[in-house]
Amino acid sequence: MRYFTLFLLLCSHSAFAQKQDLLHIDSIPPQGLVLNQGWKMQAGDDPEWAKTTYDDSQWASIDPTQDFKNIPQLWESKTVWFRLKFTVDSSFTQRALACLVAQTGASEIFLNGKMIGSFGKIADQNGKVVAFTPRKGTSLGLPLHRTGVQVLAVRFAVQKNLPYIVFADRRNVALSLRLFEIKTLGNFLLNDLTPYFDFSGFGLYIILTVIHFALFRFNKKEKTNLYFFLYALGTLFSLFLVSVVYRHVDLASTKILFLSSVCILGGLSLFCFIQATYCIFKTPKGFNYWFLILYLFFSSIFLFYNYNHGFNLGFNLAKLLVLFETGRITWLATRKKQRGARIIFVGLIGFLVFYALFYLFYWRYIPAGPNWIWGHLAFNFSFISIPIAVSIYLALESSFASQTLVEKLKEVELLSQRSLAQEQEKQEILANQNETLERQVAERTTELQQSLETLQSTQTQLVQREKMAALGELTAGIAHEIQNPLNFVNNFAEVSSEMVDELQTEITRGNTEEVQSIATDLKQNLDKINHHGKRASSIVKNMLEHSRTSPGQKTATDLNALIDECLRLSYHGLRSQIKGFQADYALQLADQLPLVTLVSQDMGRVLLNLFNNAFYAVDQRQKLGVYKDYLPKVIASSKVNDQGIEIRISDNGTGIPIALQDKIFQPFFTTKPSGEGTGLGLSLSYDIITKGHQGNLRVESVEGHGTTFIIELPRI
Amino acid sequence: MSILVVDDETDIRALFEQKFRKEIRDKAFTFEFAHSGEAALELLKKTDSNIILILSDINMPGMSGLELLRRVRGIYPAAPPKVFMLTAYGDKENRERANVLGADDFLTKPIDFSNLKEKLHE
Repeated sequence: MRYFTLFLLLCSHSAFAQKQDLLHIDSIPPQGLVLNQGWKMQAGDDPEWAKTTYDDSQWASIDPTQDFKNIPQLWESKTVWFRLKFTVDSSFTQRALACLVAQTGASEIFLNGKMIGSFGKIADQNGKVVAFTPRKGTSLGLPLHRTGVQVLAVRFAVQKNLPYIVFADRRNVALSLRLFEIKTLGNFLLNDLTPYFDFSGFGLYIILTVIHFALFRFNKKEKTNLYFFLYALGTLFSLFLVSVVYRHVDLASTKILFLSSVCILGGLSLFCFIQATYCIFKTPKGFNYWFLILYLFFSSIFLFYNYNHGFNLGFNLAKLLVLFETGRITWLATRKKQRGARIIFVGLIGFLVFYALFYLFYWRYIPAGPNWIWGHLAFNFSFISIPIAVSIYLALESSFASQTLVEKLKEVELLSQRSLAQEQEKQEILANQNETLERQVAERTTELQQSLETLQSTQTQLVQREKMAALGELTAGIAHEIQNPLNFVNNFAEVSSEMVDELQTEITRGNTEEVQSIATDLKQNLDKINHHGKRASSIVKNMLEHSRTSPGQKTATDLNALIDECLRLSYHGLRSQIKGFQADYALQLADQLPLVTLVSQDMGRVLLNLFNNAFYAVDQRQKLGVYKDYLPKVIASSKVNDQGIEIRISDNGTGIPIALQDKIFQPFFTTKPSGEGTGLGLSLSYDIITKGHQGNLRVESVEGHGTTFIIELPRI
Repeated sequence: MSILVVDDETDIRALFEQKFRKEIRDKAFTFEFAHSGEAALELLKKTDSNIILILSDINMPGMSGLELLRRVRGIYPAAPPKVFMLTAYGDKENRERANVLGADDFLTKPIDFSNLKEKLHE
């Protein structure tokens, strides 16, 4: 663009004076004189056409500095000739002149019949044309005749098989010769500021590339820096390629390849730029985005599809769309007061202002200053304003992130310290708790040990208490049982005493018969006294045996007698204990029950317990008072069967619920009110029968009707 | 006059026959003995006109003395026969129950025969 602008600018200064078909050059401006007038053109090829004497008056006039696509003859024939006749002031013959050459094709340039230069290769019959687009600053010396008409003849051909493109409005001129005095040519080339701005651009984009790469490395999660790094890198390469193309490439095919690459690279850079913009503001990707992406990826096709407008459609329009979308997103972000949006928006405004200025310079509405410096500056500022704004934003963002990171780091350190302190505190607490726990466990173990010992002691005491409780229950019965024989002993003794008195009286009287009768009765009384004395003695003996704690010896025992005794003891015991207690009892004992080897006091304890329970049950039922003709009754029976001896103790009391029948033999289980039962009676009884006598004790009961306890003893 | 002695202790018969041997010999009293309440009631039905006094133990298997008293008073709401309760249990409750049921006296064991004789003579 800049070159083209310069070209246009230079074209504005004409130093031509044309008389008929003859061009006269009377002065050459410092910026050179483009020879674009007075040229003739003829298709074909003839060495004669180089000569000064050749009459070209019939040739068509042509401006060879126009785009070569606009000269049909170039494309219709293999070769064309351009001829320019001109005269110069005599003063010029004293000066050394040269031309800056620009062309798109292959040329052989003749001056006054002599070839003074060739660029590219014009095809011979078997060869092919090799087009040259000479690098910037390519010049050709012009050794003019001292006087008279000068003739420039150019043999020219285009290389038709190349995909020519118009890059950045730079027309592909067919042939442009800019005339200089050699002494001014150097200044002209030195005054070209383009390299300075090119290198400034390189520097800037190198910095942007490095910075954003570094920022991306610093924070890989922030993709904006990655995209902007790629954008800057792509643009840097584009600038580099363009600079290389115009300064170091002569071959047209290479130049086209490079410039096409620049266009494609530019499209990719724009893609990265729009990605970065979307990333910055976290904008949702909608229709605009996808349209733009598609356009960017396929826009390069326009370059080769349309020669005149390909670049505008394929690159400039894409760039404008990207800028428009960036502006839209930035505007929306600004309205939402997103951080950084204003900076980028300022960058956009900067771009628009400088771009507008650039075109004002370009279209010459305002002067661009010496060497078009203001135009260069406007273009470069427009070119970099948005990237600079984005970079500033990203740098600020990075700085902000860094500050945040530092703050977070401090918080993390603080939290770590707290966490560490808490952890230490927890460890201490844990250690203390462990210590406390261990101490508590030790204390508990000691307590448990003590509890176990206490429990064992208590169990022993309870067993003894059960015995004593049973003994207590017995006491009243025993008292009654002892009272009766003692009463007889007393009464018979008293009667006997009276009878002895009578005996003495009758002896005195000599009533022998009466004496005999009294003596017989006395004898009988003494037997009675003896009998009841023994009876009382036996009861006391049994009582002592019952209270004894050491295990008793197994002896052959009259089980029926034991049952009878225990039943009576139990009955009388309960009568003395329970006010108003009244019950019937009956014995259904086997006639010929053999003696059974057992520990009689233990068996007696079992029987007493079972009888006590039976009488208690019938008493309870009677106290319910719901059965009118209820007669409480306890029956004890014994019989011999195949298995051994079976004792049944039945009552018609309250019965035991089914749910409790499995529990009644468990230690400490009792259905009696608190304080009335130890809950050990049946448990001890069960142990005595099963463990002590290898027998069995079981219960059959119907709630509300009665209970039968069955003792089964093996026949030993 | 016949006196019915009810006690499950069989030796009570020997004791009474010896203690009242003179009265028996002089036919001042005759004694009938029963060893349970049921037997006493049976005997009472047979010889009800002669029995003027029933001496009954309270604690007996089967029918108790108090039950016997209740039944006797069911048959004979007032004396004769008189009913003396005779028991080793001199507790207040039994005494009160006996009174309520219509007992004429309450004697405790061992039997104070001199006291009994006085009451019989009365």
